Amino acid sequence: MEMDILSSAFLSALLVIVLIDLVLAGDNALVIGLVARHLPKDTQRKVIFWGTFAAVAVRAVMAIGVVWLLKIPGFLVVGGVALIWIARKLLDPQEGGGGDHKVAAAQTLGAAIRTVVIADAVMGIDNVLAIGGAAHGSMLLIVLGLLISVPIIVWGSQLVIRLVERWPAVVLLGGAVLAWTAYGMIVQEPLLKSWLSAHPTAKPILITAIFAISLAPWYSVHLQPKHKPLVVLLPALLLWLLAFEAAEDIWHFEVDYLEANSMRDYAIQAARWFGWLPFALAYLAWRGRVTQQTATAQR
Amino acid sequence: MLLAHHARKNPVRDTSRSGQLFVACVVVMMLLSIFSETWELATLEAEFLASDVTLEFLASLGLRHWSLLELILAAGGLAIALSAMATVGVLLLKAMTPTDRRRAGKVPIETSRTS
Repeated sequence: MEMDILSSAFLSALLVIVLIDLVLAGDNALVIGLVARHLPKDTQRKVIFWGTFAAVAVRAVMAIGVVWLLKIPGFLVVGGVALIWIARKLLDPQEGGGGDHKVAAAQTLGAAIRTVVIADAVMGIDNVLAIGGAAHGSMLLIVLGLLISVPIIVWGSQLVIRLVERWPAVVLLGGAVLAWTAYGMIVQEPLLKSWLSAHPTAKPILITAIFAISLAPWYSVHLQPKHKPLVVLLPALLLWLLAFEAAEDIWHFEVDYLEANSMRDYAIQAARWFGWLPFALAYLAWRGRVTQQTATAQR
Repeated sequence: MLLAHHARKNPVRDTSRSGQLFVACVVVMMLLSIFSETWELATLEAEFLASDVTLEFLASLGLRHWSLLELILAAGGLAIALSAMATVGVLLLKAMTPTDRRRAGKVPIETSRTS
């Protein structure tokens, strides 16, 4: 599906792809540095050249493969779920912590190039999958996405590191955009389209769950302790309210709080707007008890 | 994502409050866009839903037609507006909080015992 080049849809998709490339591409440069660190200087230059060439070639082949795969019914959902997991891993503060990355330094040119190709094939899957999902079938966007990732692969690792250090929110924004892309992929799945049209409330429930799963690890670490319960309470409240909308869709009853005129109507509205309170209080009480026990155990 | 984690291992600084607020606004705008799309469709399908004020408001926002670029720009505007409101609110609170009249202009008297 080709879009007009200057349309807002095209520019938005391009923005998504640039963000995805910034947060997910560039691993190749890091891998090359780690693999070739014990090799002689002239061999390192060959590893950099051939490793980069192989990285670009592997990504181009994978991009063609992803575009073909996403046309198979069901694979858009698989790709979307994979993107949700990638977004969560990107924002998980536990990920990537600790000592050196587990990439063994190579001793020969052949071993170095082989390690780089395999590592990049594995680590480039998330980048290629995200670009394939964000491109909405547009070959031009896929090609642009690959072209944008090439300079990042070749020269941009230091730039990416400096960008992330200067504006750490770029990674958080990248995670949110990945979650949004994942939602877009899942709702475009041909197998689900008719069901989603018949049950429109499923879309808000889906996007709420996707954002909660992807962004919760990050916010649970970076919020102040008194605000951390919001990581659970806010999505839960939204899902509670949406569940009533879904129940109205499924059981075909409609209760408008302005038109409620029977005890049943009032009870449903009371449950909708206040029924979440006991669960929220129970969660806060349980959390307080756990926090106290943890603090006591640490003392 | 190895590079992003590598950069975050020893960050020069953590994500700023304004950065967090901006991304939170982006998420809110994305959610409003989906909600607006859903209830616009529902309003078209079932007229009896049109009496719900909240759903009418969401549908009238027209956010379902916004692309990601427009949502991000709107989120930036929302974040700036919220920051400005918070600043004005704090200033107003400070201005409205009366100073303790008993303490104004008073100098502590030091009593010294001289023999």
